[in-house]
Amino acid sequence: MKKSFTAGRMALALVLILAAPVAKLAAQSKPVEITWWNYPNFATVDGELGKYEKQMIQAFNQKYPNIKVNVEMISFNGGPEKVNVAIASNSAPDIIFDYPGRITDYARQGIMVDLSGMFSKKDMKDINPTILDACKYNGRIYQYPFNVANFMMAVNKTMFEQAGLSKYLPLGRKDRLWTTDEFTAALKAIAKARPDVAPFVFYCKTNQGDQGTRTMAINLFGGDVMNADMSAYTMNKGGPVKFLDWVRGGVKEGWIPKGGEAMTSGDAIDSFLQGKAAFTILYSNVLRNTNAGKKTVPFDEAFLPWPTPKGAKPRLDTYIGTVGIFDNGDKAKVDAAKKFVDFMINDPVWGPKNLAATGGFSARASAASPYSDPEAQFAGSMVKYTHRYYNTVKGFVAMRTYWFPNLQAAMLGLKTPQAALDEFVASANTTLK
Amino acid sequence: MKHALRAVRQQSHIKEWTAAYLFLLPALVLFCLFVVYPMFRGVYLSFFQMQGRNTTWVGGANYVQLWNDPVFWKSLVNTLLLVVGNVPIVVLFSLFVSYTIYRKPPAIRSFYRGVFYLPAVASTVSITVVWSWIYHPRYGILNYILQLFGAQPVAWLGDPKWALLAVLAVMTTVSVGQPIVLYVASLGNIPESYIEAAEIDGANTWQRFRKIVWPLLMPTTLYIVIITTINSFQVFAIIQLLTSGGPAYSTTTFMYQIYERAFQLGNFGQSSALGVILAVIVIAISIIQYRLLDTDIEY
Repeated sequence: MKKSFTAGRMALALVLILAAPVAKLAAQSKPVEITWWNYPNFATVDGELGKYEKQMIQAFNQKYPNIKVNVEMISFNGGPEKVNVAIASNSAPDIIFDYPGRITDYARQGIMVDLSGMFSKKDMKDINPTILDACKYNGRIYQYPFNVANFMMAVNKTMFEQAGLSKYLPLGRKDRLWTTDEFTAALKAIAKARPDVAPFVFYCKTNQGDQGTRTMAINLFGGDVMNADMSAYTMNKGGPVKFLDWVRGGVKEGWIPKGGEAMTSGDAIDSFLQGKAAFTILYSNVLRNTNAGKKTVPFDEAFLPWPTPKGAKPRLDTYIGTVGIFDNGDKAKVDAAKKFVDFMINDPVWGPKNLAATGGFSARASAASPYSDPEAQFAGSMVKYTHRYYNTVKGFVAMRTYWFPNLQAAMLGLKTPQAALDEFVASANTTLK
Repeated sequence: MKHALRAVRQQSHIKEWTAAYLFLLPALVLFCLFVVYPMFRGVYLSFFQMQGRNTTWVGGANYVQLWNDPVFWKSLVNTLLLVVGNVPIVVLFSLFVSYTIYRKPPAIRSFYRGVFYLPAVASTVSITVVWSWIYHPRYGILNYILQLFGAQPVAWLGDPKWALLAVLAVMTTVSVGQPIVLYVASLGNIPESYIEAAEIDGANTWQRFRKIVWPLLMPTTLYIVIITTINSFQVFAIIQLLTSGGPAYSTTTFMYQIYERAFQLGNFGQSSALGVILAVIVIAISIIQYRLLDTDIEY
């Protein structure tokens, strides 16, 4: 009796010991389906949006056959609204590849997964602290930084060469630094030589690409978007006011075309790529990559930093591509999503391939640049002029809804530049509360 | 015997009504699910601050915030301007076209009906994309024509003086199709003998129209006025695609504000409050229109 009782207990113990890893294996091999919503962050393959992403998922499934990833492509035009609706209706995706301006807002709502555990001490040292700070909320990391790129201007070099105006461009200088006066002279020269093209398209129809106009406003004549501790907006002091006067003067004199109130950043970039504008004020290596298919005329383009008052260094706005995971209350999906994010960014083969497909540079200092072309290398070298990242302050999304209407009011003469910027700052500061 | 017959009749009556309701049930369920429930839910949400998944009771605070918001008042004025502009133009233009074509040979009548009805069936997005190019400040055909006559190009969508009119023009082109079809049908139903009798009695064209045709078209006119008013109040896609409510809020409307506050700012509570206010205004105006234009005429 005693023997059989002991044997029974041993058998039970054996079953329990074996059951745990078997159960774990069963859980691991249990199929999981996750959804990934992706903006056009990667180059298109064969002109088909989402094809590259599907190739990535196929490669991922060779490693993790039980994790099914459904990719849904969304546009920057309307995509953020779609995400807001999905969040409100409890149907948010599992993964989103976006940027800190929006993902931090989602983290503020308490709906993102804390990814701090995905970073070792080595990882933390390898990533630029400014970039890592942009991915944090309340000290925790809620988005995985993948690629970075500085926003800069770009010029149609071929157009200037053909017009015999190359001397107006600072392409031979170190870091291509130039002054506001030199930029103004270049605009006037190309406007005179080529009245059929726009020197550049100043846009303020919507909040699309509005970081371009804000950064331009603080570079050309000085000033800053926010104060030192980012507790208040300061766009109504000094430089930005002078900047709006400069733009209005340019429209009056004809070297900045009228109608910017009805143009978007997409129109501005399209005009540049179609050879209808000499400069674009919103460009980056990422945009160059993702918009390559829209270039309808062959020309050589060159990145240019923002012109500044003499002696001042340009301050470049940074695009940081980050991946966040929504907390939809399903641990299995969160674990699966983490595996996919890790594969996308850190896989030894697909990590660098994906990075090259974005056109951006790695957020990690140890990663080599995947680009050999001189313009991409120049763009990478300009990281040293990166300005502080304010896109994660509270109310950033709401602030953007006040910027373009006040720009419009100033451009249309409904308000003076000072009054327009005063109203913008007053409204924007309410969003910080 | 009498009781037995009554019972049989009642039973058959019940069977008929049951069958009728069963046929109505699928549509009724969908209507309740996608119209009635969201309506009441919208009223309920208007008393909450709803951001993302977080919902907090705030009572009438959303309504107070809207009352104090200059953009709300601007959107109300813009919406009323569009309604006041679009409804008379649609009624008068479609009546004019219908009156001109309703006696034409069937082929010609069908051709014009088809041409004017096309915008109603075409995709609003496609129509708006084409119009945005027509209105383009540098490459638009409208400015090209203006420049042929020596005029300066106009920023149709970028100038507050013109933007709302530009939107109104697009709205009108997509609104006239259905009224024309309805008016042509209604005009065809007016007995010719009335008009002939008036002619014999010496009534001129205007008198025949004013005393015979116009009163007999009143039921159709009432329907067109109410539907066009409601559609004008709810204009959204044209504004979102052409102007995004700008420049400087000059084309922002109620529906656009509902969209912006809900989907761009994630402020579903305030957006629901706007929706409730819009519904109240539309109901009030519809009742007034019904009282003014309703008639006992039936076809």
